[in-house]
Amino acid sequence: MSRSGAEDDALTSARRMYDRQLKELDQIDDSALRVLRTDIIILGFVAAALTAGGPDAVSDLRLVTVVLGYFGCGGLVISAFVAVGTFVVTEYPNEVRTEELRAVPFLEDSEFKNSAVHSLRTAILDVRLEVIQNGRQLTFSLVTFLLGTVFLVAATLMAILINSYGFLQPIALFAVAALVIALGGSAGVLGKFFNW
Amino acid sequence: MTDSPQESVNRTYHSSKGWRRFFSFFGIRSAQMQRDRSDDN
Repeated sequence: MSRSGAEDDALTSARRMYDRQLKELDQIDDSALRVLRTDIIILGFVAAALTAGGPDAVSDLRLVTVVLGYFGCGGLVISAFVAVGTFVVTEYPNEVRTEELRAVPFLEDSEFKNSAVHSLRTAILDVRLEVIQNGRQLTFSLVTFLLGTVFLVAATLMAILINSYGFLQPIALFAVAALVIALGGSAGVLGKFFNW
Repeated sequence: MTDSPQESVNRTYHSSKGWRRFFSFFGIRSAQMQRDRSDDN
């Protein structure tokens, strides 16, 4: 293979890698926006339920139920905030620097290719770091989303057990805690069984 | 997917500097902002 052919190949594969990294970054930002949408929908349902329940919707609930619901909604709000932040702070280097474009008329073909490969190499590293950083933020957003949802489900179960079935508060709290732990445990067992 | 990213001289941003600073205050930073911060310290 001639030197020029090798340079062409290097440039093509560097561009392909850069495009792939950008696609990965886009997918993470897309996922963050999907988490945001789900957070807003669930928070909307909670707001609608409280509004439809009338003025005593919250005061009819026991304090522990309200606290659980508060943590649930708080988790979703934090998740939504981090999801927006993940999208907003995203930045990445361009494929070609403006200085290189300005210098094109004065460069040999080979010089330009070499300089393009060099800037693509640093751009790929930069985008990789951005992918890792955004991935961390998305994970945090997903975890707070999951915790918020678990707290909201626990609050709903508490309200049903106490208000609809007349359970005593400590028994209802114990039943809900046992249920949440059992669900987590069974997910772990299923995970081991199916080798997730 | 991204809605009209802004381009500066050599980097592409999803939003204005003000919004990025706002989220940076809460610890949500891009990898570059994280590096700049480490260099400053």
